[in-house]
Amino acid sequence: MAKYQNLIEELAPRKFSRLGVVWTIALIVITMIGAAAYIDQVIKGQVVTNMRDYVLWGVYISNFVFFVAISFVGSLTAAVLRLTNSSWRTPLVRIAEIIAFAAITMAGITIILDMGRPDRLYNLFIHARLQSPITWDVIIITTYLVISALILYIPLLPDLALLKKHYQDKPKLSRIYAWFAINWNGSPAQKALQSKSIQMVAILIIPVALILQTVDAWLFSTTYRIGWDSTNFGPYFIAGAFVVGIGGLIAVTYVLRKVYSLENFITDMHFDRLGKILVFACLIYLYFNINEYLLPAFTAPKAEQAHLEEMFTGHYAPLFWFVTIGGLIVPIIVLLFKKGRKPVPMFIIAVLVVVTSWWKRYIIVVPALLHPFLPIQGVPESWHSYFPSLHEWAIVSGTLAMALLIITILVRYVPIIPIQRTMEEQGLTEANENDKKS
Amino acid sequence: MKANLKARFAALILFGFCSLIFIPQVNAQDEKAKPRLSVEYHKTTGEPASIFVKGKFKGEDGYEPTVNLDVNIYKVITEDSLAFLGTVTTNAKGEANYTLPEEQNDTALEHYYVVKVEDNDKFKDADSDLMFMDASLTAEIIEEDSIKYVVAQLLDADGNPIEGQSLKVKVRRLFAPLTIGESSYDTDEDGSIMVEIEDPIPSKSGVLTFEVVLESDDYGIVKAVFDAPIGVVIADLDTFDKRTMWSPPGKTPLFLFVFANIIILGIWIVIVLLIRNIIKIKKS
Amino acid sequence: MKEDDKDLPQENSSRRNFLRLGLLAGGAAAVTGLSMSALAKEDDAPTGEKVKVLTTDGKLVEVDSAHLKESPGCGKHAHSGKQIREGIPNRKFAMVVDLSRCKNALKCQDSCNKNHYITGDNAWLKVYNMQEEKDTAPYWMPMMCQHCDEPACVTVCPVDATFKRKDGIVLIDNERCIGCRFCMAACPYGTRVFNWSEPKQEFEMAVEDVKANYTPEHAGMPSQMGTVDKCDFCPHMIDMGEMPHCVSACPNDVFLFGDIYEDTVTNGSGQSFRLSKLLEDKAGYRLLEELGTKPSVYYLPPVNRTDAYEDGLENYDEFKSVHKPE
Repeated sequence: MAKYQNLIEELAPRKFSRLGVVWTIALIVITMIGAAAYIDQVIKGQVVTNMRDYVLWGVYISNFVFFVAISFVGSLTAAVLRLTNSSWRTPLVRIAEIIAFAAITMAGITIILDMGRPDRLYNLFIHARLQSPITWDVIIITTYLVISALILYIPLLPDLALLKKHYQDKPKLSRIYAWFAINWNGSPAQKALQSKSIQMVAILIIPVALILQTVDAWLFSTTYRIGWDSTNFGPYFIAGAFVVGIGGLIAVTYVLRKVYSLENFITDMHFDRLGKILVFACLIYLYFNINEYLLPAFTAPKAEQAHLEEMFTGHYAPLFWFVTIGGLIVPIIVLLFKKGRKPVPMFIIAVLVVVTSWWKRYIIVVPALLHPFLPIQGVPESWHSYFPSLHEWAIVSGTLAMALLIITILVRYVPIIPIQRTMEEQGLTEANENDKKS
Repeated sequence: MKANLKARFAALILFGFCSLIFIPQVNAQDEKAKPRLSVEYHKTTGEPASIFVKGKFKGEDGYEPTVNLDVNIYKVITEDSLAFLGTVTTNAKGEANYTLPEEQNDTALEHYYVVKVEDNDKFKDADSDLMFMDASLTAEIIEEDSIKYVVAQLLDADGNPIEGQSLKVKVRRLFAPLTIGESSYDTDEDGSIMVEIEDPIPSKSGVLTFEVVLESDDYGIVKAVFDAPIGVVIADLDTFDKRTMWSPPGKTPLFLFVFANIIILGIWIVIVLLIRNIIKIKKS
Repeated sequence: MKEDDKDLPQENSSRRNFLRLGLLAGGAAAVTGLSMSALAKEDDAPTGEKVKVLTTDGKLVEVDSAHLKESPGCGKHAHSGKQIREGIPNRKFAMVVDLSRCKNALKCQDSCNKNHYITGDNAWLKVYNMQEEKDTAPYWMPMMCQHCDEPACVTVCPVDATFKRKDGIVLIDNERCIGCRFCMAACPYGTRVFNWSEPKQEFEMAVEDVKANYTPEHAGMPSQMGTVDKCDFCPHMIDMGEMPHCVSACPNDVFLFGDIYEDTVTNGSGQSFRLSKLLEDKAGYRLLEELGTKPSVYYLPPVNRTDAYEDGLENYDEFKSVHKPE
């Protein structure tokens, strides 16, 4: 009984410490600043950004692509690891599902921030053209949002029921858990339904996630632009999502582990395994990068040549090499060593991967727009280059803060490590305990 | 009574004052500009003959049309006497048309007219003379040995053929007529021309409107206009009614429509089942 | 009129006369400027309200306001939604740009900017200073929306805001555009512009009237913040039997415009040519043909130039295509 109760104590969501409160407040403040900047943008128009007719998509879009990419972790870990039934994944899946849910929610919000006329959002539904890749994007993001919510919720049911009981001394909280737990009583019928549903959603989320990443890539590769018009883009984006998804998972896992002292549940072994997966992901992504950047240099038609030169030696070279070396080469090298796969270096590498992944999307979106087919003429000199304005930084930071805020709130009320599952694995079910007693 | 007079006097003073302010401002330029008037005699099949006046003046940026300018039309009876016919006002392009009434009595060979700008606030006085002789121009399409020709004949007021006049053969198009064949053809001793239509002329309706035009100092601008159903009909080149990737939502390509909906429905049926399962769990 | 009503009626009547005359002249000028030949509300009983209008042959007449009929192409919802989307029947418009005649006079750009009330920093019609390689000949190339037959911009629009008509013209419905700028990303010619801020347009008419009468057939009346704009091939002019502003404004007859079904294009001076013959004789081509967009604008190569390329450098400003009053 003691062990059973202890487990629940350890894994049940706890109130925030001082640090947690400060963290949350900071996120709220950043989000509010972003919201204020957005309101200013709606009033004055997007002239408050540094986007103009040539760089017509900027950080809003690259940030959006980043969120879509990182949401891939939901299908990766949650689905793949759930389906392979490996028990080591248990502590990680919920974190992955939470990150995925937060990311896809923010992707949906972020894209609206880029619209010139957000007041006409409904046009996307009543006048939708199926021929447009944006329509495909709207459909698939909505779909993925629902599925990632389901894959978070359905396996959560037993834990919600447990927490309902656990917080009996806090009636309000207990009632909320009870409402979400929808009469879960652990009966064989319910368990069967749940198990089947998890199978269904885990299988479903994989093709949906792949379609999501592909459609996102097709927003670019369905145009004629040099740097975007690539047959490589679909799988390239999938591989990129793989990398940033795992990177994000590692980073968040490390922080939560530290803050909630979950070292017993998330061990060095977990980091080691995640490290191996990340190396694998980076190698795949490196392969696609070679196809995307190195190969065109072989024939290099004039327009391609100009674009590649910008990346390798030109204006965007520092950013390009930072992203490629910092985001791919360094992680691969460090993580090939066992010492590199210890939690602390893993965390550093993971943060590096996430940051470089964010800038990677910037490098994909912006430089191509500065190489149109016809020369850039007849516009002010400032239109020949781009760097985000203060409004754009404020709004982007607001979206990133809001993503972290969603994760924080979910972590506050949802057990990070699936309690029921862990108990089953440790043979600590209520039934067993009662048996032991008797 | 006295009050009324006072009021009228005040009004007059005010009127005079306002004129002093307004009139100089109306004449923004210190001097009135000298309009240059060009006059032509226009006669087109099926329309009454008219005198066409076009005015322009030298403005700041070069020649500009005289807009809204009153021009008086006079017929010259004898060397000294003019008969006032009417006034026309030029439009935004500086052009005006005065429709000539049907003349039954005038058997003179040459007709003389004068157009004048007189007593105009904005422009100096100007005039321009017009002399023309009446001519009739007829034209039609004939076909010989499966070749189509435009034939036209130019006759003077007495019905005699006019030789050596330069005629242009055109087909009316959307914005300006297209010349057929050479830039012009001279009439022979019968006053006629015959122009081969070498390339088939396309038209959506199949009906072409031809004009044969004489531009002459003596006869004015005389046009013979007629329709002929010899246009080659071109099939539609647009994709408006087809299902294409650039069509409106109602004309989505079928492949895309079917394929996309199968995928979407397939996924959402599973989602619905999942939600059903959740409800089942709740109920059990 | 009472004896006591002394001053006011007389004074006011003379002033009223002046105002009336002034308004009349102004009104007549405005009416001329808008080229309304007659306006109407159909089948209405005479209202007794007289309006002075200018007829097409320059006469100033007075008509009852009930007898005014709307002229197509200008004024309130002249065409139905279906007509706006489908276009002028039995026509397919094409433009020819003769590069051998262009010397960067920029009258085309000025006329387009003026008549579409363009107030941004990017003109819809730009004359490019082109030179493919340092060893090839430089030339001036006016470029505007190509009104492609397979338009990439229309294909990617998610809300059907930009559309391809049967008469070949591609238009934008600024009431529906959501400002996603995907069309701008997709256009390989880079010919679309965006209204990043509130366009500060100054119309001769009241802004509310302009807004109430908005039609995609006269782009820029008004422009809307957060939406896309581009060359519209001036359907508002075609409806009046006139050619697009750039064609008429060019002093060097660089532009020709016409109907493919008539196989005829006409230049600003009013000379018509057989389109197919012109393209064959002068080796006409289209821009970025290899992309398969099938543009409606043909270019005649800059051979046997009428003027030297250097003549155009005087007008060239690399960083400005819209000249605003200081």
